[in-house]
Amino acid sequence: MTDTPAKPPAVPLDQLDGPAHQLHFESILDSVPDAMVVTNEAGIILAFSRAAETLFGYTAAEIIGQPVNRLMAGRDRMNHDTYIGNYMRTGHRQIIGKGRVVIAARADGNLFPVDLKIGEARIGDYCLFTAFIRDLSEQQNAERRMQAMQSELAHFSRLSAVGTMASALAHELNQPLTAVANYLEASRDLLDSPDPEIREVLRGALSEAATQAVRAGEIVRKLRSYVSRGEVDARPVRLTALLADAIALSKVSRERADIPVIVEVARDADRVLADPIQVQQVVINLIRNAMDAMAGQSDAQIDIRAMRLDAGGLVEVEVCDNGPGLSAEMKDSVFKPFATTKAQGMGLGLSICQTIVEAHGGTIRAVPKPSGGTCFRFTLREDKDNLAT
Amino acid sequence: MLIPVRDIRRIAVVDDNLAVRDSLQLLLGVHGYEVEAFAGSVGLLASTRLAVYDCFVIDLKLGGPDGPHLLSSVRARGFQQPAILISGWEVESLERLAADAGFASHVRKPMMITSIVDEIRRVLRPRESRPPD
Repeated sequence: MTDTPAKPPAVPLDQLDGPAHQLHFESILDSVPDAMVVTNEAGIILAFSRAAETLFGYTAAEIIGQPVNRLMAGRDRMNHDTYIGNYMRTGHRQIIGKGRVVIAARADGNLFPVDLKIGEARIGDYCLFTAFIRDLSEQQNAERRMQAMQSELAHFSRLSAVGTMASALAHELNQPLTAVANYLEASRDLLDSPDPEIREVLRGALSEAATQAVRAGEIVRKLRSYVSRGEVDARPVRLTALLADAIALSKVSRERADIPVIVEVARDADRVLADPIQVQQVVINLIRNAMDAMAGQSDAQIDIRAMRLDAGGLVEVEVCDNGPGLSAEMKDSVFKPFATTKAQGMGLGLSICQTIVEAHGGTIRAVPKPSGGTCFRFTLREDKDNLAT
Repeated sequence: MLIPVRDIRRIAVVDDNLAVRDSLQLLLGVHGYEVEAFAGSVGLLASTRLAVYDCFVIDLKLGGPDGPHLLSSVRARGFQQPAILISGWEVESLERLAADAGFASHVRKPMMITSIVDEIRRVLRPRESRPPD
């Protein structure tokens, strides 16, 4: 369909007010992304958007004037006249103002699931019904793609650092957020129009914006549930080995890989219970944050220390930088998602670190270093059965 | 406000995300542009109407060949209309990447800081007889 020359669908002029209005209406018919079908109260099609032409395989010219139930299948086809009849007689709404899934029929006879939303507009004595039809088969494909990407993301994050995961996540989040921004911008531009059809488009745009905002929230929620997925595989590990791996990984493809990292693990702090890959991600993330905090500093140095705490059977690990330190403002929000001072950052790294540490039964906090800089300290459970001798 | 449809500008949008395509289609439609949206390179390149577009809006990462590849295929067929690169990936040198590939402009998703509508107006401006801002 996209290859055929543009042809504005015929709109019944007599139902609308004048040429300027019709131009608006036609541009809406051409640009509204969902298929849009306008009928009168007898169920006769009066307008058919470009997207509807693509979806159903009819041209506007051939379908206008036909009964709308030609676009439906099965039960919905038979019941349609009854629905409208009931509504006109009793005002009982079976579908108007609500969305529902129905089966639609293409010109070639193929059936497919659609989400149908119907709005009602009264113009003088006329009653017009505007149906917005969204092809669910495509949406179902999109869902599948999303799932594939998520499992890829999950796999990805197992192998690489939280930072990389956050960047893939940023992209995932950017898609629905872009849609939100666009729908809201379009809505603002439509806000002043009193035309009932345009009000319907506005309503549709706002509800799409809301849907996409919820989707963005879902992505974050799924990510959190992924990293905190209850069953942490905490097993006896040696902290020295874990830290050495994390330091090596944190320097991969980093400009400041030459910053010295000093490690000091107390003899009685080496045996801990941890999911090594997850705790490695925490350490990598803290090291990379420290590198970023000391950008351009010639005396940059990172100190990592681990010591056994006197109480609670815990080992504390600290990662310290000698950068400028956290601002008072950041100190309180540093673990909150999306709190960031980095131009390229998502502000998720430390939030994910916190989730991982807490899933291990530990805590994480940021403390200022007296000599300048910041220390991030987190605790892990010690491995009581294998205490160093 | 809807812009009266006089001299209609046609925009081809290529993005593999359905929500992004839909929302751009509506937004640009509201601003009086005629929009055709494609889910990937193949769709756009299969179009026999490449000549009718006034501007291409192309996502950086598409399934298959990426945005810069797509634009070079379009250029190779002799079409020189301005193009805007959009990206949701944090690419540090998006400016340079876009310029090197022959894009007139670029917009980072989620398009909250730079308006795609403003960018389209800007790249189409030489053809519009409007006074300079």
